[in-house]
Amino acid sequence: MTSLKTTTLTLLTGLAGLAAGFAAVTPGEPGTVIAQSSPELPPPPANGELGFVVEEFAPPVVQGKEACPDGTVPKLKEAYLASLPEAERARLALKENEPEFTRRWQATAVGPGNTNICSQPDRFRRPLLRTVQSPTAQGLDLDRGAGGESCEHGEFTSPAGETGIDNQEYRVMGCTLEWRGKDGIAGDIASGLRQFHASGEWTQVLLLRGIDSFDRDDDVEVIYANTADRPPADAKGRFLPGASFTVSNSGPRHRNVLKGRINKGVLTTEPTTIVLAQTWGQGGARDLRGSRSRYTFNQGRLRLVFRPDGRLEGLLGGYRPAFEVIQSPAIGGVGAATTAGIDCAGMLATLLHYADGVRDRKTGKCTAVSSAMRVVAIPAFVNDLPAATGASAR
Amino acid sequence: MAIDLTRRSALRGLLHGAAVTVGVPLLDAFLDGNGEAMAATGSPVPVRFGTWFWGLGVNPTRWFPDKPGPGYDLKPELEPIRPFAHKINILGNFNVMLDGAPNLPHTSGGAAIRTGRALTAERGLPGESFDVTIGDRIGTRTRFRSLEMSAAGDARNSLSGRGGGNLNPSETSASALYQRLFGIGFKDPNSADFVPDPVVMARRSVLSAVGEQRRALERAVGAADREKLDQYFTSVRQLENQLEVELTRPEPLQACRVLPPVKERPVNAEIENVVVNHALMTDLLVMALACDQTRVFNMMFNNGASSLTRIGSTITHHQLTHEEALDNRLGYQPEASYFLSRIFEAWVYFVSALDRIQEGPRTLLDNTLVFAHSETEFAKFHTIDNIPMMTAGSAGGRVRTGLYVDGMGTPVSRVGLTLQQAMGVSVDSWGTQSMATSKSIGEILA
Repeated sequence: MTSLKTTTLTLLTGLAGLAAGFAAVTPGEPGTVIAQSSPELPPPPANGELGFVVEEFAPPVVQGKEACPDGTVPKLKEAYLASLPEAERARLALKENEPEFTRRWQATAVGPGNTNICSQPDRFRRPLLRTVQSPTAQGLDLDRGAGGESCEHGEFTSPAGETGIDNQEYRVMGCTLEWRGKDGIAGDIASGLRQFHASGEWTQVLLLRGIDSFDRDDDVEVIYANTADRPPADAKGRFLPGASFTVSNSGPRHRNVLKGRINKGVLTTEPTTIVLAQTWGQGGARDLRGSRSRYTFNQGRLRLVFRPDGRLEGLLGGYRPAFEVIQSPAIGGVGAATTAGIDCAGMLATLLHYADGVRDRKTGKCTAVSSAMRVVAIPAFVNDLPAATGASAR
Repeated sequence: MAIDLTRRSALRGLLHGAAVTVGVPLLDAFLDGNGEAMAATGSPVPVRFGTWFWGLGVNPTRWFPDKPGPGYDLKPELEPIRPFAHKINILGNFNVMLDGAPNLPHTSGGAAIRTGRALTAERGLPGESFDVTIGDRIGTRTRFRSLEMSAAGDARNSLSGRGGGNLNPSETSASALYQRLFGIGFKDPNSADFVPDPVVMARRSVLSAVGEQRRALERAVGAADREKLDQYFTSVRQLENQLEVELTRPEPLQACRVLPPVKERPVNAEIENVVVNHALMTDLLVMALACDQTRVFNMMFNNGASSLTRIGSTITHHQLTHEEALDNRLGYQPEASYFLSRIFEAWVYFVSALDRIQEGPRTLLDNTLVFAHSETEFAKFHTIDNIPMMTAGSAGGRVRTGLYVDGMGTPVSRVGLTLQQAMGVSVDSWGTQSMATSKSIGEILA
């Protein structure tokens, strides 16, 4: 058996390279999927109910060189090398000095008392990461431009021209290699997160009740929950429509009841806290093997478009606690730093620097970042279990 | 003068009070006309089973064939197997069902394949691995019930065990493996002389005496303790069987020849050394099989979270799979894929070494069933659905070969069930929870 202490998933949850996905849906019209309704929708279901299973759930990244003109965020060893005088850089870059170089850069990942920059990121002082420089991002207007509880922050404009987009998670994470990738197409996170939804680990379902019209309906109940059932898939791994799923009834149970409305084929929900499953297997015996982790979207809301082919497509937005964004490498521990080269401490510091939501009552500082996830769901039969047994219902 | 070549006609006598038989060398005449049974005894030519493991999966789009059935297409990473494709099955699209258990990176996949269960504990296996079950069926009358080897070092690198946190440790040194196989205790099956080892006789008699105490102890303890004792005494019974084997004159075997000793050499995770160690271990294993020293084996080329490096480099295979971004235009990670090429070259060496040994009209590979697999599909994301798997050899005609089988998302436990059935284990269902299955892979069973 292999040691798990050095294993980690290199994904960092948040926004990611879904530009390719958008292009596939609406070629040549990036961003329009979010804003426009579909004129060719079928009549609403007779019983007013529609079920869906979420096939895509990943942060949307707007590709293009203007976003990260200085390149992607350096890995730990690249950052270490860049911190050295030129002559020393040249010496360590020699093949025969690789063992010394490895020893030295990996030493930057550990600290006194058996600490490391991923397990205890708040105990290390690291430079802030490169951030997205482009004014364009996908996302929702979470503060409606008014600020309120939000801290001062820059806002983006969507590719479709919508202003006031809040997405500080993308600002911070959008230049990491994991999100942006190296080929101008997509980052690893786009495909990496998919497995969790295909395996039943994070699989999500949506159940819409009380639909009277796709044109206008002010009262739609939306159940947004996890299911332990695996979606059946075709040979290419695409989920098959029409499968049955039952809302999870074992802890930790996540069943969010949202109040929604439909306007011209666009479903939106009122802000509330949305919690969804996110577990990680890495981390060894050091912790709870990821069972402590989850997705939390404070003031979370959905904006989804009904498609003529039956799909629901759009965004989930909200404010995510800063640490939650790096929980995968944090659970991975030192292996995330020395195996995948992730600077968890730098990431957390940058996330907190750009945090724009959920003020700490004592310090007055924001502790969460505005965030968005691209959501694509396909028709399914959803068996709701409103009453939890032995688990906390939400 | 007519010569009776049955083993029962061998000379018998006493040596220091011990029974002694003296046989005659093996000739082709020992095999029947079909080469499928020992002519002298009528016992079938041994059928062997083994596993071959590699860590960190593949680049799926460059490995899995597109076309199920015979004559499958060979993608770039499978191209090295072309000369043996007609003797190799590819198994794809079988899934690991976790039933709420976490996907423990580099661990859950291999354990699920071997045990039909989702792993919930940090170490060991969640149940008995099917190679052990098969060993109980076919490996009880050989000197070694099974051989475990790890070409990249680390005796703990193993996926074989009876569960409960125990693993059968791997031999890591080819030199040590040689000594174990052909050093003290080895009885050349083709030698004219056979003298039972007095030390072995003494050990067996000690165990016989212990047997009485064992039965008394089992009667004295409660059910829980009896369960604990059972696993221990299973090992003791294996030892008894093996001692019995060592006191029996071995069956002459056509292909068996004793190899020259193997010198000590570095054991580490440098790919260049691992390739050499693997080749040496393979050669020794092949002869151990030909000499019927064992009928079950487990070869670990590398470990799950592969520690492989290139000489002079500290960058591991594992590190590259996580650090190197996936190139969406290429569809793979170029640097990490270097190790995949070396791994599949080694796999081909392994298969060809078995296929070089002739046993009557068949080869040793034909009389063996080798199950090769990894622990992830695509290592960067730790995916455990569609883990790459292969079988090589036809288990003496019990398995069809040259096929790509699309599992269509069914539980990976179907593979373990099928392999056990092919090897004669009396089992009609296997695995737990969502991986409980009674559906074997009919396509490959002859």
